Amino acid sequence: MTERAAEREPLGRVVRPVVPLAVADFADGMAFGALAVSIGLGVLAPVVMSLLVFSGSAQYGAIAVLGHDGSLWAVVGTAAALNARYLLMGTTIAPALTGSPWSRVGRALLITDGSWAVAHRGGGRYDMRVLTVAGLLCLCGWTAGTALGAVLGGAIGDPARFGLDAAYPVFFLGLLRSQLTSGRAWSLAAVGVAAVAGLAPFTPPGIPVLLAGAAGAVAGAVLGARR
Amino acid sequence: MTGVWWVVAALALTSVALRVVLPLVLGGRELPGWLGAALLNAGPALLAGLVVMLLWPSGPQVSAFRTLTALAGVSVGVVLLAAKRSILTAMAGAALVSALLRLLLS
Repeated sequence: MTERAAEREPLGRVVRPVVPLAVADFADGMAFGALAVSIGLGVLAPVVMSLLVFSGSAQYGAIAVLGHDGSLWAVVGTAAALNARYLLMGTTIAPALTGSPWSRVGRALLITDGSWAVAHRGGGRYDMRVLTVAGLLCLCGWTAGTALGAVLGGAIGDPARFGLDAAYPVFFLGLLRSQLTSGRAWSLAAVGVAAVAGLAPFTPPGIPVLLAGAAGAVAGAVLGARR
Repeated sequence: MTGVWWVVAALALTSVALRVVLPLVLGGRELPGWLGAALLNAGPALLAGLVVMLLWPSGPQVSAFRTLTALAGVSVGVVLLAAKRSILTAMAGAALVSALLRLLLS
């Protein structure tokens, strides 16, 4: 599907697959807000952080480091490692990012795991309208959830009891389902699983996913060369 | 500016840089054939890797009970996806089973 074709799609059809992700981001944002307040960040700082950083993994990582009295550099290093996969995602999506530099920057800022995955149309094509809508809805959900969680604080209790940590992987599995249409795709997915499972115990968080993507690229080249 | 706000500013700069630099440089241009093919292959591996990363305990503070109940929820989600249910249904099923197990067994 080209971007022009996607723009003719009704907005409701674009929004529908994004809603569960935004709802999950809202709930996860509440948990983050409550956690941030519990380590003494106050109410405003976590909300501004969610608005500007917009990355659950990096923000949770930063909170973990801050909670152990880590330095500013340790916080930044952790966040950079956790978000390094955005380099790969940004590269995959770059050809579809047309328009002025400001337009490209604006859309690139909305790249998250979820918006990147839901905007993927297969064959290396991306739907920029879906990326924009998904990114904006998730940004709203994540930031609003953070604000509510920060205000409610400890009244939320243990967020793990909602089972959200089981819902997120299923979202990505659902998107992966549509890509697993050949033995080659299954092989590449298996390479990704093996790479993360093999590297996660030994490398900083975030790096295994980046390397999983790189391993998939190499494996794809090898598979292609044999055919 | 207090320490907290330095952290917020540094995190924001890091996050923006990682998201924006390559799309700004490469945006709208056709990638070289070899790079395009490589990135095409990276997609399924990256998605599958994300799933494993989300299930991997993020630290020693995450208990085996929490990981196992999450896996049980994900298993239900996988069954629902295999039964051609929507992603939303599968996500809700996974969260519900995981939450119920934690409520009943903890």
